[in-house]
Amino acid sequence: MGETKTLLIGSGAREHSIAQALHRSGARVSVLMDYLNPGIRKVSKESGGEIFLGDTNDPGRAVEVSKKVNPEFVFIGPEEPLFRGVSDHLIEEGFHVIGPPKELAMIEMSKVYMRRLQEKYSIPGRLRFKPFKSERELEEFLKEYEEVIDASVALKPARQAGGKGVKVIADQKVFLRKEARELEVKHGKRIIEEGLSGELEEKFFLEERGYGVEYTLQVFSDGEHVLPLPVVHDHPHYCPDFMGSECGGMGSVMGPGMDYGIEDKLPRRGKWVLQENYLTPFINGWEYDRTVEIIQKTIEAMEKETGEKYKGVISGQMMLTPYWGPTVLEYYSRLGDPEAVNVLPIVENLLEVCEALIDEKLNRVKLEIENKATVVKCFAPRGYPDHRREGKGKELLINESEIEKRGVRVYYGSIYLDSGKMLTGGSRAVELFSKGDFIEECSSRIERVTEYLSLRNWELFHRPEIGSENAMRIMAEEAQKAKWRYQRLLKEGRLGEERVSWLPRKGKVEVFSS
Amino acid sequence: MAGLLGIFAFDEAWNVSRFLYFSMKAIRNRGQESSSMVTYSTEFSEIDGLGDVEEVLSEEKVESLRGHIGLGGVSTERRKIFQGQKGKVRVLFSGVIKGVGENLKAAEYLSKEMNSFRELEEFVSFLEELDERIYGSLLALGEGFLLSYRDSSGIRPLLKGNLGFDLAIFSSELASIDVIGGDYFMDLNPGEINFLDKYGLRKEIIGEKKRKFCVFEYVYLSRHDNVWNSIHVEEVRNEIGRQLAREHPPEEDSVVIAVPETARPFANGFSQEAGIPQRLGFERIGRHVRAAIKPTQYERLMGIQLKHNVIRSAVWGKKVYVLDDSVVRGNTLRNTVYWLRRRGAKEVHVRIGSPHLIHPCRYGIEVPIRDELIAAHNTEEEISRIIGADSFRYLSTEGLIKAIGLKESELCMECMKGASNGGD
Repeated sequence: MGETKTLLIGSGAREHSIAQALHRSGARVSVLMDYLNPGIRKVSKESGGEIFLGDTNDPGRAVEVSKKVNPEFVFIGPEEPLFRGVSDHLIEEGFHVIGPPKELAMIEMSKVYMRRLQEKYSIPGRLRFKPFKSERELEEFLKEYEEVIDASVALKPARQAGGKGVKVIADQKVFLRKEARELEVKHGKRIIEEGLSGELEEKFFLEERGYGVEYTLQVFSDGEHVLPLPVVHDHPHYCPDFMGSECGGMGSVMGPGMDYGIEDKLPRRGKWVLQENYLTPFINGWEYDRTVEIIQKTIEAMEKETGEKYKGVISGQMMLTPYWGPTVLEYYSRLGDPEAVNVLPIVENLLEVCEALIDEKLNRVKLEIENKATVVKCFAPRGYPDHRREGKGKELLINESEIEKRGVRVYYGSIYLDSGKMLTGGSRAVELFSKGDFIEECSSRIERVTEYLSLRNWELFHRPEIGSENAMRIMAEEAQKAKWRYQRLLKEGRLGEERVSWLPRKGKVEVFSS
Repeated sequence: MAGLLGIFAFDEAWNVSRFLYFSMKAIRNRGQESSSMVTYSTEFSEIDGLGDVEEVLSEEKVESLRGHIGLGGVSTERRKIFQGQKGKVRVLFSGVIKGVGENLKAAEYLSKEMNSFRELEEFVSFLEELDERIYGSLLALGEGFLLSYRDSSGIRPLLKGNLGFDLAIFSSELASIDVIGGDYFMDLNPGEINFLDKYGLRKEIIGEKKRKFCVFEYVYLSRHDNVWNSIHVEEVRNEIGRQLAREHPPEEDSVVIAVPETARPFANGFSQEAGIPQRLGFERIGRHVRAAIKPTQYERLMGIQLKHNVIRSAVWGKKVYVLDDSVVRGNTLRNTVYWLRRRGAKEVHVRIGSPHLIHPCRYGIEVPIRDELIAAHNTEEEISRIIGADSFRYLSTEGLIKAIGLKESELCMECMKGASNGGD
């Protein structure tokens, strides 16, 4: 039984992995969750913790539970409680919290705030953006914005809505521009009608579309120092083979993979990189360090703006782009899901890290982490992500011991216990984790256990190709194209320079995109 | 033969008809006798016509079609593609179903047999049953779903790609994915079924026939920019040219010219390997027509005579090595050699980027019957005399296999070697 009392807030697979890592490093983990997650429940019980059910977004309930548990610190897993001020209330009551107050969680909640901050402080890795209050405004803007080759954009609600409403619209061919434009306006209207941006005045914004490979860098911050974790690559398409709309992520890979013989001449080792294997096949040492630098600058900028120190986790959802190299797509004010599940199962001293974070001594602690590749694949009921209601309340049939016997670990997401049955909540239900020497090896190991989980009378789907040779090669190629271009710009001191076009009779004009 | 294209939008707010139209331009090489398009929103709407994509379809005509899913097809048969398909499942098929027929006829059969299917499982069990007899690739459009399938022999190509988070694209040609801005792509594996509906994409692999990748795809059928079985067609064709130069090295003071369009990379490779210059030997008059897939001799010759106007300065007084992709009947080649000499070539040596064609295709490609195949009845020396060349050489079958880089047991070379090569 753990000596150090901790309280975890949250109910999904990410929290399952946090609870486990805290428990393994000696904590007693009590937990406040929305529904009875079987995985978290088990870990919490083993650690000697108490289990509380309730609305995790309700600050009152969080304070009430914290007073009962009297923990050394409260770890808030998901973003929504942060947006609702749960951290603020806990801090006010004198609790130590891993998870920033609302004002700092703005870095995730308002993407417009994030972009403006980046611009004001000239933080590298920016994408062009423009906010709008109505779809009419957007229509007017699009009229002035014809003379580009690639007018692809991401159209996003101004407020983070669990990934909902984010739409990347490809527009690279002038003869299909009409279709793309119509859809952009339709989608802007949809965001407003569905109220995704809530109270914010600016309802949605356009962002230039980045090209390159995506990655997440999760960082612990005590306000003074940062402790970065290894890079993880998420897979946002919800269908196999890079098909279908963007969802919360259907799996992620981390660590060394096979060598695809794609040229990469910059040094792979950087100052943060204690071991070469912290890097995936697509991210080198310079890129890693640059990403840490971007995140640090963002933390500093927020402190200047608010006077508050960022204590918690901040994750850069990044893309390696041709014009900047490391570029920010968005920030999380927390660990990623599934990205947390790649890292935490092989971290040995999470409790020590959390304690150092509370004491603002993160610089004195070294992350103890196994030198391994890891793969996580998410399993969701048919209906996810666009028809979730249809996938609710299905019974999960799972043979955990057979799965674990084969070297794969189970993390429970949107699954709740009800009269002895495990039922789906409609979102990603289970995440399977595997570690090994290579990403590709971990991916195959997970494929060998898929027969041990299913839903009664309903389909449970996943993306088998995540971490496979084919998928990794495609990502490696995408990364390489970005590297060739940005490394040249870097050498010439031209990273992130203005993109211009030349128009007859008008001369040089800055363009929104390429 | 038929060219296949299918597009599925994950968000029903998209109208894919103009995407289909522009994508279809990139499968024209697979049939210019009939071209059709069908979309589904709440009902089917279609344009079904005779002739080339550009003749049948236009931006204005296509505007009237609406839907977030659709098919586009072209065929070498002069017959409307969907004329016998009025049910709830529209089918495009390139290949053969033994005991049923080829291409459009097989597509009609499939459309009838699969008319009541709504779920992936129904298609899977039907196609599993059919595995022994079906060779080819198919796309099917139903009320709210799109199905794609490449049979377990893998004889015909079928690629898939995405356009960001919005579209899934299936096509016989990679260029169809490229032309509308698509990104990632991969082959459907032999036996792979993809089923797309509002719940997303589901995959199955069925069947267990031995591999039978059509080598003629690499030699002639595919566009240069296609990638099939992860092999880049242009690379294969360049290697074929090099292989030809190794097998029969040309004389030093000569030039190489390509019979457009397919032989261009052959000539690049031949020139690079042999170290002799490549010249531009022909310029086209009129628009691009694939003469060899035209149905009548009159049309083929007309096509070739409009396609191959000899450029005098490239050939005058020179020993010319002419590279072409294949010889079927020999008439068009005779025409080419004749005009090269008329325009002043000193010597004309013909090199063919494929082995001799001696058997008709049993899998839906229009190789004529044996009696019409010049190679089935004549040696290289005899053909050289017939077409009026100074020399005439084929690529060896070993050379072709080497250039493709796959194992012989995975390839279908029946038209070149006869059915003994793993025939059944």
